[in-house]
Amino acid sequence: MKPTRTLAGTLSTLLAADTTYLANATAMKVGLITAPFTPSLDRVMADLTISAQTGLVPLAGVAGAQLESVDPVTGELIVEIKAPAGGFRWETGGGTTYPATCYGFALGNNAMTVLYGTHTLDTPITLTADNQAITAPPLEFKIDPTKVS
Amino acid sequence: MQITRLLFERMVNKFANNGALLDHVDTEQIKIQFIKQEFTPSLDLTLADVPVATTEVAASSILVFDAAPTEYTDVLNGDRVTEFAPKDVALIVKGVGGGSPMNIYGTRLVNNAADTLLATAHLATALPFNADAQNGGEVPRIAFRFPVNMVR
Repeated sequence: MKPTRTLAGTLSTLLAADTTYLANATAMKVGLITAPFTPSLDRVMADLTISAQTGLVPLAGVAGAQLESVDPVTGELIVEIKAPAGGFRWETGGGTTYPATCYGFALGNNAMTVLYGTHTLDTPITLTADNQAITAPPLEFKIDPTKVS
Repeated sequence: MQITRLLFERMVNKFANNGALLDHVDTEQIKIQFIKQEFTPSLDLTLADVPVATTEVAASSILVFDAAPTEYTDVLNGDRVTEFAPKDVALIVKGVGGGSPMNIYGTRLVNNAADTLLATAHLATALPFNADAQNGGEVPRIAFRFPVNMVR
């Protein structure tokens, strides 16, 4: 069946407010993926290499309900992961081993044992010295309600 | 972001078990009705766009069964599907004796009060009804299909 906008909108509102996963009382984390990977529906955290280096460890987001909205241009339903103050920003220094290459970002639970999504960088970023920074772009799930049938 | 299967299935599960809109467990159960005017399925349809047969059919609505919808991954194409069962009857629309000729073009899913349109299903071929009370036709399953590429 083709849902109406009233019903279709619940895809994003309920996902953003789901206390089991995205809206858990313990904040999700975003980690730097430091080995090449192929994004996939079936990707799990164990498939990825997540940096644990000084300055490049996974960062906690904001606990609770995430942001949801409708893209005014495409009509897609958007679930946006709330970034902490200062953003999802990593900066080298204090013992980072170089080079360190970032291929993307992994969104997971607080323990980084369960993977929720990945964002791939078009061009990997290689860190070569102290005081270099990477900031994640807005991390969003975009849902096309017109594809429900 | 590329969503994982865990979260994708969770999204579908939350959608299907949303008691506020897709109530299937008490006297406010959602139901399907039979649309008697040609229409094009769309996110933006309103009740006025899909008028339904009332006295022209033997039963003007079918309640959904008061059990949780069935969810599965389609083995043929990987779509995630959630399906509600009808309550006590088959998914068939039947005519009434002496009723005027008319066509049924699909079904609409509404809340119990029929004042909120939730979804529609369009029949590839309209069902033509005449005055014969023995006439009947199958209507679409009460199911939603979610392709994995709908999230990016």
